[in-house]
Amino acid sequence: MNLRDTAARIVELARKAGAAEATASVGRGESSSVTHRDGQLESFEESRTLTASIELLVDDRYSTHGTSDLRPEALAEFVARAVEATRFLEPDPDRRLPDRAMMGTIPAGPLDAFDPARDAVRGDDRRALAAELEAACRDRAGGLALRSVTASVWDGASERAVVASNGFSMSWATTGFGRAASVSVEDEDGRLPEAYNAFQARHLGDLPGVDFIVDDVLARARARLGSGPTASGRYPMILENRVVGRILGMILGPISGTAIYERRSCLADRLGERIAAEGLSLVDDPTIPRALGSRPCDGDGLPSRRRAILDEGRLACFLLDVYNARRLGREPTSGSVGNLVVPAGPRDPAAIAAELDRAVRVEGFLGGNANAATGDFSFGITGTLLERGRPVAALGEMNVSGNLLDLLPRFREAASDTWTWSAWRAPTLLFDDVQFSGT
Amino acid sequence: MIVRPDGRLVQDWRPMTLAFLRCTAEQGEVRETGTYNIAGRAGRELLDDAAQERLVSEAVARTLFALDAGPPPAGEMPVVLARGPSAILLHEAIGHGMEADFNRKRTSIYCDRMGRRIASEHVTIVDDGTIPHSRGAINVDDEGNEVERTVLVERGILRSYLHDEISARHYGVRPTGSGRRQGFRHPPIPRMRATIMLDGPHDPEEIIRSVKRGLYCESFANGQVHIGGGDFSFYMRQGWLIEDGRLTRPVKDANIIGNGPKALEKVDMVGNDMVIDEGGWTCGKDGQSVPVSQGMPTVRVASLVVGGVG
Repeated sequence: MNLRDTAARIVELARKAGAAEATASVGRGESSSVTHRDGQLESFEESRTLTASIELLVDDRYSTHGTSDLRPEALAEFVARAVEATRFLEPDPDRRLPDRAMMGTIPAGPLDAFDPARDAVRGDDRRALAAELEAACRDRAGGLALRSVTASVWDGASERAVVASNGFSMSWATTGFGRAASVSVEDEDGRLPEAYNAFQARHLGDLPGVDFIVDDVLARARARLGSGPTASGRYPMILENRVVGRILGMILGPISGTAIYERRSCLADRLGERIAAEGLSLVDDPTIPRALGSRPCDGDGLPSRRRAILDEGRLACFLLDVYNARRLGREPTSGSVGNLVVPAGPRDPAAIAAELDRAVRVEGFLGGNANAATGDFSFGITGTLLERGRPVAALGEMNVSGNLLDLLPRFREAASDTWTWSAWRAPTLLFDDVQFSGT
Repeated sequence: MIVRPDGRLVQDWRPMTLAFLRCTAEQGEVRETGTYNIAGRAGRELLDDAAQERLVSEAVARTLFALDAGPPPAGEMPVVLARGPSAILLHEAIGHGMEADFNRKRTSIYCDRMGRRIASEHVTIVDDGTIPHSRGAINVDDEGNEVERTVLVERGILRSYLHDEISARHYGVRPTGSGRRQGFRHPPIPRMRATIMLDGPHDPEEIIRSVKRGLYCESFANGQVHIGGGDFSFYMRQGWLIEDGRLTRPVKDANIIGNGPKALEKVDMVGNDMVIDEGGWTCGKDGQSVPVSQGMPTVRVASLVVGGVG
């Protein structure tokens, strides 16, 4: 099936059924995964999906619909019912396709998001790699009392085509590869703390090797032994690279178009103002070759471009999709993000930690939430208490709390160790004087 | 419709209605939001006049409450959990740890404790899929097995895991009707339905009066647990500071964290006012979401770590 032809046909059906405007998206995906646990094959999954979704504008009324039944006769009925259902809604004149001139794509080739090497990957390869990862965890465990070891290997490919009634169309294909390990270890008091890691990339060759993954997960497991809370108080916070998104991600909610429109935002009146320490920048860059969040255009069909969200501490943009921009009487800036990049600094995290008498290194989160209207946040954490960079206690049953607008000015330094296996590409960050609660 | 390997064909109809309301208020420089939701396995009749009135008055009250509330103090303190939605404590502190897949893999902190005392005799916890119109109710589970009321903890003693077909076969017991899946793209795994702590002997007023300085939690947003280490947390949206047995100052937005078995041991007062929360809770596990419900009487936990200030 040609995806673009199918999408075009759906748009045509919608127009015939009475829709003033329509955008159809048709996607095809396949994925395979193998999980190995404690010397045995735990699970093996293969899946193929075919989906279509449509956005409709009928008599100023807007709706979205999805189906997985793409047989021609089923599609016709799906579209007819979708158009009919839309007529029951309230009108919303701000829902419109963007001007055709605003829509477009950047060249997909340089984004290099599709790795043909996937064709050569066989089920046996995945299984052998998962078994190797698991066995290596046991071989390298040293004195750790392992209760259970699980290793997973997966990969997938997907392609998607979008066609809009104003003539815009695009198609885009990606591959993805992943490896993960998780170990459960026996603590002296009967607890069974777990550690896990996961690595994802668009290209097979960008993933780390077995030794790196295994040493990383075992080090994380060792760091969880004997964990407990330390005294409540204010400490420097060393935020590990791979979990930065949980903290800096709090900026994204209050600058989303819906939050700005509803004034449900602690940042609604702060555009252009300094809200963070001068050294802190956050860049949304959907154009990085091979990066997980790269793409030729956003969900509205606006071409991808790099933009600063925080520019040296200044709030540089809101995330306005076409709909919310129109409701607010502003220009759209794209309502979604691609890769979120925090520029790296010159020093490694150990050099930064070594200068601090006592600091809490946050390595993981357990629950918690943030209030976009006020900026208040409170998260459970796991981590390590460091003295001059030396680990002195494993931390658990603790929270980090505060307000986003109070925290951001406390940023001091970014380390040099950028994490590249997620759409958040950040190094380890240091914040001063952060509230932790424990005993 | 479920077709089982033994040829049995099971059909089920699972209605669901959910209404959600969010308000935003401004008072000078202060801006706040509040939400309320009502959900159940029923049709539109769930949202009768009384329910609509409750939806609006609760959402507005919560929004205005937040305008006047501040952060609680930080650290370990006694926590009194209001009846109803506080059962998020059960869901996180013990519910997930009783799902038999984690125990079959021997990675749950509860896997070696069956038949042993894990809480005071006031504590009885059930996971019940049979409560009419409850959001977590199912007529049959997603493997076509009959649904039951499973006693997890009986007067403080650990009694049964939650089983799907695979774990039941592993343990040589009957499935508990807990095999659930998000949809056809996902495999069934052991899941909770409606997790409930039954009434205990204490008067709820007496429980609040018993606390010299602590926290009273009324509403919640979300929770999470580490199955093996047992650490769990839940996010309090609103509550009160308790001083000398009285509710004195409104507080909001604090994460509360503890260790499952330790926290259950510390449940030292259990009220006689159990109610099942009407909210639209959704539980996530292994990338699958399923609707659940939960209920609890007013409960005192002698000590949990409150994410506050100071």
